[in-house]
Amino acid sequence: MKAFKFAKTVLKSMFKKPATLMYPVVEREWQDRTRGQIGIEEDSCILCGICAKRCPADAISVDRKDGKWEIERMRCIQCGECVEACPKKCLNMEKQYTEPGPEKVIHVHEIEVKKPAKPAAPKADAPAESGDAAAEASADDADDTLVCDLNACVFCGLCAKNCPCDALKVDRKEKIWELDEDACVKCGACIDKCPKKCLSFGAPAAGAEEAEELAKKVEDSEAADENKAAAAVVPEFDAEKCIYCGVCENQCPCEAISAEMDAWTLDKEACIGCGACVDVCPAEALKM
Amino acid sequence: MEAEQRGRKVVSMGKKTIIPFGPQHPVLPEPIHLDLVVEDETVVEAIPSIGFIHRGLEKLVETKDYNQMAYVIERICGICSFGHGWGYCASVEGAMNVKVPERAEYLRTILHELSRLHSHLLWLGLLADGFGFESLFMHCWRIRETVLDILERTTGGRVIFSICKVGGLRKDIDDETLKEIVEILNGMKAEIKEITDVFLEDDSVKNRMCGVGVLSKEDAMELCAVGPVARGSGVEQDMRLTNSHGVYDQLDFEPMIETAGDCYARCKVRIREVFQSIELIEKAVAKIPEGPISVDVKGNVEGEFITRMEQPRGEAFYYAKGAGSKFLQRMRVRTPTNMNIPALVKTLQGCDLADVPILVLTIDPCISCTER
Repeated sequence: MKAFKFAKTVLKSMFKKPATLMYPVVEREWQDRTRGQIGIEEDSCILCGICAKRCPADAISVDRKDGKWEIERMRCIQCGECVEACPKKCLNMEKQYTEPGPEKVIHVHEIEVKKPAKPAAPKADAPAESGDAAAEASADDADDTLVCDLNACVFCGLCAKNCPCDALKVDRKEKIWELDEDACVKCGACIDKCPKKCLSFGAPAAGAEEAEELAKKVEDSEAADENKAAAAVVPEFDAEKCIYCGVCENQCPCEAISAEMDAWTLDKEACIGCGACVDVCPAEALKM
Repeated sequence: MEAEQRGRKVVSMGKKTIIPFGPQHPVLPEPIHLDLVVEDETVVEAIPSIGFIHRGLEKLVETKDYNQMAYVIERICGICSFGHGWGYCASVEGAMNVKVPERAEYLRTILHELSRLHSHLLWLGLLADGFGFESLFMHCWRIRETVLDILERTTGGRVIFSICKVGGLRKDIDDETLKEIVEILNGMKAEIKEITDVFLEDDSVKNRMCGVGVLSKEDAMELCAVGPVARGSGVEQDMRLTNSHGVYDQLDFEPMIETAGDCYARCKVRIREVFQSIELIEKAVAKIPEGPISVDVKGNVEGEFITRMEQPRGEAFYYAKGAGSKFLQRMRVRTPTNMNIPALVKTLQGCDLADVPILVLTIDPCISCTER
């Protein structure tokens, strides 16, 4: 009877419901994690363009001037990288797939460019103005400008490097930290990268007194900065833990570290004590 | 006379004719082209040619950074996509000296075995279709759908998972879901057995496969066959046993070896591997530790690394080289089908023209992998 091996399965199947669905008449049930297509909440988008930069398929393009967020549906590979990268969490993964069609569709979302409440862009390193800006910004919660606590700042420039809109300018020699408020999209990427945690939206302390204090401190900051190089804390090196991977060397904004195969050296004069190397060390061989 | 000297049974005085086979052919979803030189009904020589779907994915490493490439490499193949993503990530992690958490390695192993499961079920269906058993084909794919549902539930995609990243995994699978998966797979065993018994025992199926396209162990070694093709010819070769990836060293298993070397043996190897995969998943779920599923990877790729990975179709080889930038300098993938084409050409010599589709199918060709 080996010839009729399949007969049992066939007979059983005759009394079973079909395994297929009448798609698309009958809708299928999506799983919680189904990756269908990318959706956007237009209201909270700040057009920072991080999604476009991270997209492996170049499917997203962001035009800040015209206020347009575009996605090429046929290019998108639904990897979800943009959803993870979005600082405002306004992108999401919808479960429904893109509708099939004969043409390559580009979905354009018109997004209003949110200008900061204060049109004049104060230089954050100008002491009096930055104090004002901080005070005003704290009064208006909706539009908190990015503020740098210049007392803590070591002018390493990591914030400027990681800014998606090139809104920050940092000059280490002149001790200038400058924000172009028109360009800033308040994504917060710089705050995450700051090794000294001296960046925040609005004044870190809201009270008027403290704002004044801050202004004073900033006034003194120039004097403080001069001593900084000498007084700064430099990273301590633990040779037993070090794996000489060189990650600290790559991260150092002032090229003060050189990590050879078996020698780790620090140029103490060049070091500004930012601590960026400590954060990235995979072997925890560095501490401040 | 000439034919007799070469050891073939059929002596014909017919004229040589060339029959083109593929790249478009009813049994072949993959574009490989074969020029079949036939005498009467017997194939004397087969000349393969590929190059119909080259996409230049390896070149993309120069414009996509190493994190983005994980999603691109995965798209080399629609069936063994997880293995490709894993092979790439393992190579980059090796070059960057990144140690992946153990839970991530376990989950990767589980997902890889799920991929193997659905790949082999898909192949069984294609084989059934190849020898004209349409309803068997549909039943194989019906069962495969259950595995795809599990994969969609855990990763979000049916065949392209986008879950593997350099440094670990992007999504965790909780223990409850893992236990449910094992339950579902154990429930499937009876169903799979019912279908695979047809392949192994039905007379009409056996007539099409037994003794067809015999590849001896010596030939398999000499022609560098890999995966189920090599194992079907008695070569003990399984990259999972080299401990180069995953946690296979902790799962204790034997490679599936058949010695006959014909189409039936290759089919049997894959059917046994289907059940083996279910067992491996069960073992991995029982042993999986708690912990993080990824580590942060920072910095640039410096150095080079080679990973050898056992894909459903055999050994795949990944080479990554970086020179201190976030873009890799070179990425090389050698896929199993590439290695099995010489073995295919060898077995095609002297076979019946009617057996050609089955012979091509038993190496489980994946040409889009091969050409990338």
